[in-house]
Amino acid sequence: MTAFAIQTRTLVKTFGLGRKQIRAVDGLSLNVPEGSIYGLLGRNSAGKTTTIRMAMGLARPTSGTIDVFGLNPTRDPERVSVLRQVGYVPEDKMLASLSPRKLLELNRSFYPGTWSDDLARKVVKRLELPLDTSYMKLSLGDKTKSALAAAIAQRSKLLILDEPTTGLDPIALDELLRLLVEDCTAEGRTIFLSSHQLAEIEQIADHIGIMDRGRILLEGPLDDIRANFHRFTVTGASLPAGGTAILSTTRDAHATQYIIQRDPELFSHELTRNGATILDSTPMSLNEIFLELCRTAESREEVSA
Amino acid sequence: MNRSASLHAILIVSALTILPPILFGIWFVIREKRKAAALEASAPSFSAQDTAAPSFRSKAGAFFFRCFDVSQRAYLRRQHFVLAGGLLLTWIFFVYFSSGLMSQYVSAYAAQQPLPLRVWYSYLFHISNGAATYGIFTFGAAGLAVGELGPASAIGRFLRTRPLSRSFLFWIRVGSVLSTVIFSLVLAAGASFILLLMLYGPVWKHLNNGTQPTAAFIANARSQPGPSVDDILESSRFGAGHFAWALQTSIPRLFLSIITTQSFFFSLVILLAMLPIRSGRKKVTFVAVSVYVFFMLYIIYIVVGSGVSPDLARICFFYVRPGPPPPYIFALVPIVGSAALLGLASNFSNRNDG
Amino acid sequence: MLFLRISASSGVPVHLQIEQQIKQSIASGVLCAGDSLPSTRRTAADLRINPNTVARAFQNLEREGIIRTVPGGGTYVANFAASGAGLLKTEKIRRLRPLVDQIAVEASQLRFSSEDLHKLLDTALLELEKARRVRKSDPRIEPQEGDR
Repeated sequence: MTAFAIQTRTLVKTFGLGRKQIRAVDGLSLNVPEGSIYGLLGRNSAGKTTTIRMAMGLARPTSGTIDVFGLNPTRDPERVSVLRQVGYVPEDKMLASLSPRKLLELNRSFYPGTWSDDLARKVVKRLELPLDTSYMKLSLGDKTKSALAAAIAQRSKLLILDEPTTGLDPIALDELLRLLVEDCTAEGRTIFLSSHQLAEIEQIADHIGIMDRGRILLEGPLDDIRANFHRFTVTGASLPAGGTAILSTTRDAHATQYIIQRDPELFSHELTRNGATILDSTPMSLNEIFLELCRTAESREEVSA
Repeated sequence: MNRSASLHAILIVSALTILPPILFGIWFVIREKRKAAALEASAPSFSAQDTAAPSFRSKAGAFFFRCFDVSQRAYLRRQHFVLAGGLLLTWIFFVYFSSGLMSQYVSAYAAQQPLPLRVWYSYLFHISNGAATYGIFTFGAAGLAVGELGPASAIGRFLRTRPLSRSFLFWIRVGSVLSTVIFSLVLAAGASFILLLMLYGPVWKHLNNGTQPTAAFIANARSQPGPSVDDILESSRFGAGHFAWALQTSIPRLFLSIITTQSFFFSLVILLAMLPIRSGRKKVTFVAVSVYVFFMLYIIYIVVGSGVSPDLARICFFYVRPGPPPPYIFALVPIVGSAALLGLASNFSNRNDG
Repeated sequence: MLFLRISASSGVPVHLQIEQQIKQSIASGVLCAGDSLPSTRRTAADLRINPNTVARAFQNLEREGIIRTVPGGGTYVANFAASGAGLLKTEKIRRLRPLVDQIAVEASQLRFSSEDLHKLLDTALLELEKARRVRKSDPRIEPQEGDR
């Protein structure tokens, strides 16, 4: 029985009423295993930040459930137990209008049991965070670094990072990845991060969830997903038109391209068995998988609308 | 009353209330800037010595803190900023409470009356008259209290993502600001009373120096046809009126009324701020509604104060001019009302999206 | 020192890339039997990848007998001869078959003749042997049992 750090079941969050209602989260069923690095991917208004805010008890679900370590984060007193174990970097990086030093000191007073000064110093040094610049003078990247330092030094069981790469230059980004892997994964700790930066997620995540329009399109171990997705360029007479394993088909005069989302080996055997010729067979990067899934979901929406 | 003297007095009072805070503010800002510049120049690394867990200054402090866990103590320690505000409020209220003692005001009423009476009346009149003005500061205090609790505040969101329950955040914040306001009022009242004693001695013991109409005269005058006794009292250049009212005013109840009225107003503002209105429109709505409420309260004060609805004033323990005081029991009305409003506000605060 | 280059987006599973590169290093003599490997965590941090992925790669390699972990801590390159001999021929065929299939597909698509393909394979094996011999004759390095 895997324990889940975060788990949602048909979670729904709506804003507004009547015709102007926005369904930010629309039946989300998310599963973040404990001890994993889970990357939540999605476009800008997919509902990632709303989901994270609900996990942090900052917003109440309209319906459905969300559990963090089996506790409900939207109601006191369970909410307090949840927050004891979670470190958080919000999307807008406005944790509190304090200089980094003051923010670290303030945060440390809330978590004396798990806080590590050494880790705080390490993060400050590696990310080159200016400790005493006043909040007004901090650049966006520095604000991100400040929030990251405060959250990482907490050494919490679960680290929730909402767009932790905002404003970071490539060196800082590289150092952040190193820090996350080195210091935030020992002892079965979990990292949950939402991002647009697919390349970075692909590197360190072992589980991913792709979210679009408030719902999960695809979720699971990254290795499995990458093994399942494949792109085939095929010619032949009797080519399959559809099927559950086929995500999308593109035909042109010379060949047909299939994007396969399940059992690619089976599919290729089927093709060769039916006499088709496989001109090209390539695996897909996470970026390509993401683009294909979102485009397919979008065209399905348009068809049904 | 001499117009230029009154203007002069107003200017003095305003200067006394505004200048010290401004000077303090300037001094504080300069000090912070110097500290920040020094830190930026030297750039020391983050070190554990910077904030060792503060040890409690007294055994009483340690005992008080024992029932709270670490995060709660961290939040409680933050409230010491509120105490600094309390000092400021105490000074401001002290100035207003003592403004009646200024010679320009004392000499404004019926110069032929004996000094003790004039001092006492002026003192009481100015204390009771300032309800609307105190309301401004109460409003400010309420706004500060609630700023951290609202969705727009960055520090507020920080605190709401630390292991503290929403109701703890609400009650400690609101509670410490409200108790500071009340404490300031009490301190200011006491200090102004001591000032009165220092300047003029125990004036309420020497009110009757034999030049006032007796109770018999007043009773007789009431049974006569002709101009009403009130007109007579009024027309004798406020002499007898002063006397009657000054005798009847109960100074403890006067101060208690200020405390209960301000607490009620405070709670009302808190409730308005916690109403679940979406943030963007909320600010505009909040400002508009609170200005409206404030205005209405002022109107009520004038209406009640001019004696149109004395029953309402009695029931709400709303005691805004020298005269017969409402019984103590009615103090419970605004107190219970405040508690109810705060309870409702707490409910809204817990449910609001952070 | 492990000089691994991992590309997360190449489509090849990362643990496979690690396994292949370690095998490559051993085959070309960069890593010899008895050399110590950095810990899973260290490797993951250096490469900026998930520790579980590195752990999986190391586990697979250990199962194949290519590396071994000492209970007290530390991972070492196993004795090559011992590990190689331990595998049955069927197992070796099972491992090599997919790679060979892939080469066969590629070659047939490029219309590469079987003869040329065999020549290519021999050249590759020869170069590996040469590299190993160079390391062997290098006076700075002691000869290992694994080299033959």
